[in-house]
Amino acid sequence: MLVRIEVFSRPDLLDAQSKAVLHAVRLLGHQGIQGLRVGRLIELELAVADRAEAEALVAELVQTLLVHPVTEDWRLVWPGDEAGWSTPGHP
Amino acid sequence: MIVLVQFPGTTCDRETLAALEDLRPGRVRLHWHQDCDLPPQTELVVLPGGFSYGDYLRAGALAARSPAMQAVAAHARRGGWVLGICNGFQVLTEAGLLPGALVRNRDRQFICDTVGLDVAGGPAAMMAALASGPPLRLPIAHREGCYVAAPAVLEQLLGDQRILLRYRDAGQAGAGNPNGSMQAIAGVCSANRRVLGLMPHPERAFAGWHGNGDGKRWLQALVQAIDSL
Repeated sequence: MLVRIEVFSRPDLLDAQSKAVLHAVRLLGHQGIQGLRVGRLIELELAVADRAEAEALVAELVQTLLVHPVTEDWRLVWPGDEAGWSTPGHP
Repeated sequence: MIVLVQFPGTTCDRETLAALEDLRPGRVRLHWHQDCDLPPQTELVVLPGGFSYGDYLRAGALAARSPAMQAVAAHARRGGWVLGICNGFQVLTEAGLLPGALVRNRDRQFICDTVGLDVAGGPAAMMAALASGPPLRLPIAHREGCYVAAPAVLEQLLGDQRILLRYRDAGQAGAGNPNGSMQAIAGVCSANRRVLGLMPHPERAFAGWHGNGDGKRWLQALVQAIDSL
């Protein structure tokens, strides 16, 4: 089972990277961009029986290593959750 | 005995070793990150600066989960002394041995500079030793040095005098605060004042040829504080 964890800086913290990229995008002359956030994407290939087991495992991994509790928020994305989710290298 | 931990990607181990050897001749040991048990008689564990594990995932995140750090955490739980310098400070926050986190500098640049610092808290004996003499000036060299913490944590650090060092003259529009740290924090310590983390590099202002002895003053104050107990 292939799942993804999206990790973003918490909104109440200064996210200097996203600010800088947004600034650069606007400098290129693009209009109509209200916000931009740069985050981290972690893809996991899990050998588990069902979604519940996957959720429990991901929660454990997130807590012990993958996400910083002070500075980051995360969400678990299931394949097919989002239209247009492209997976280069994966069928 | 002082134990200096080396991770893959640690870069400041040699000069930190030289500084510690100067303070405690013959009583400093190097400790590889995969070794579990610290030597008996370990008084102080030092985590030097560098880019452990290439700063992969987050600075200090992977080193914080290494076998050596399990032993360092146990040492800290027993009330042992721990000092983290720069990347070592990042490792200590990642390991949960110090509160808060260090994120990318406000201006997103790697900063290599020498900055003025005020002693704002820490072990009482260190504060007393550092109270006399001019304000400290120490080198900094980091990209992830912006200290952040929840408001309640900051309040606690302030109230309990647990802010070791603050960037000096940080009040006016951020001037003097090189990386955007909350409360201009350059270093903090644990509730029992035994686990210390700081972004500046005292080992780089130590030898005569460094042209600045403030790091020696700071490290001497730490060693004296350890000896006084």
